[in-house]
Amino acid sequence: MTETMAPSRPLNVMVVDDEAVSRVVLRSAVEDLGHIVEEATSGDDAWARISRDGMPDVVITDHLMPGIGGFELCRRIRALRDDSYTYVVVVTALDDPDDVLAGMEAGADDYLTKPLDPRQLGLRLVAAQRVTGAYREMAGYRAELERANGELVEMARTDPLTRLGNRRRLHEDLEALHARAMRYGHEYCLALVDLDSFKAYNDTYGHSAGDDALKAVADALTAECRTGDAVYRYGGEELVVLLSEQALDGACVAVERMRNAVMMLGIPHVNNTAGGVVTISAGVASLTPGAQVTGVLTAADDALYRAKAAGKNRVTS
Amino acid sequence: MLVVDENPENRRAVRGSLEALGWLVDEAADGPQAIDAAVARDYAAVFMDRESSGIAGLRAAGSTARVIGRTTVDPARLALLATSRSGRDLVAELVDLFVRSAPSRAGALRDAAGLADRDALRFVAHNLRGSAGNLGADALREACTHLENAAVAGRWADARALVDTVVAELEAARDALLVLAVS
Repeated sequence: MTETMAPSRPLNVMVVDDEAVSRVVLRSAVEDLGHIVEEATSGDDAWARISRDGMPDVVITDHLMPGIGGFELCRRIRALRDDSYTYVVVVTALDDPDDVLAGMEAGADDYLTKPLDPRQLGLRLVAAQRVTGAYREMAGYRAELERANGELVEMARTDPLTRLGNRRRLHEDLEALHARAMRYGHEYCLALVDLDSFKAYNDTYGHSAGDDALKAVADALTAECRTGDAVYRYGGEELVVLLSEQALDGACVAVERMRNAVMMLGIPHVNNTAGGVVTISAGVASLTPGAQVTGVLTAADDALYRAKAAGKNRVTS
Repeated sequence: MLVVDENPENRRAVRGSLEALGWLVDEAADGPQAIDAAVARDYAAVFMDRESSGIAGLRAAGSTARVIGRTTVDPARLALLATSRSGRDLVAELVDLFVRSAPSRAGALRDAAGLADRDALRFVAHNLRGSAGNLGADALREACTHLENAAVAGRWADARALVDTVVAELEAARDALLVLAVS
């Protein structure tokens, strides 16, 4: 008999009965098994306590009570969807076998008959511990899975070198920003940024130095961003800056500041035709009414082409 | 406490339960033996399997011992409750609850029967049945079951008669429990 052994994890057990003697008998038996008891003097009292304090691990409820009866209480508990599982035991009179079936159909896990036998109760609580433990474990796995999924989602949208959002994230954010801008008539701008003579840089200093330069530029752009703006790695040596709630002239000023910040990094680049240090060119475009997302991107690309053609290290719109 | 029963196994069982409740127990196999024992010693109560058979003899022999029928209170139920950690304190607490609630319950039964309030009568009877079962008051429990059924069926003449039976059994159970719980 494990009756007197303290369980590894005490269960919170709510005892529901409108009859005081039964409550005391149940309380005593449950406490003897090392669990924690809360008494409710009616179904309504039990439901009020559950609504206020949340679900206990186990509910042991009398069947026939004025107001909310045991079966109704059981149905209400089952209707609450939760990660945790509440083990419900209904108590019926020994001579009401139909009640047992009705109780199980209402969602009870098990039943006890009156008069209560403390040993029978012990068996129910062993089962309750097993079932609630399994549910808790499942909830733990689910949380772990959700966390891992979140990590994967994040990883799939981050450029590992610069830690900037990648092209996939850009497209998602851009769609969202575009939809918002169209709906509320707000403005936003997009800047396509390209490192000048980057192939020559890699050829001169090596790919590892190229990566470092790209990171430095990404950081410089991020540092110049306002809250709400974001920098992405579009691919290769191309970056994108999204400037929300920004008209074209304001955006050009902001990007011009970024261009200057990159130049001021002073990273040597002897084969840059635009000067002896690493520089960027940028094409800025704003949302035109009724335009598609691709239209904004194309306009920025055209502007970037003009910046390059005009001699690099400049911002064009 | 004197246990009267012609079946030695029954005597042994009742004796064990009473001892678990802290009583010193003597046994008697039949009426004459019981009378001899009761004349020789003072008992807090005499436990009888068939109440009616021995009482007259006991009284005739001058014994004033209280007689408790096995169906009035089954000591095995109380002994089971006494196996809890709080032991006989739990039994005392339960008996106290039962005794204190007895007058209001009897009143509630009479009121509900008088008003022909089906739900009230049903719930009070059901409630009392639960208490009775927990304390081993089997006769009271059974009377409550009949009353509950009569109430549900709306048999009011039966119900009123059964209320009298239930109240009588309630008082008998209360008196027996008061003796048993204070060893």
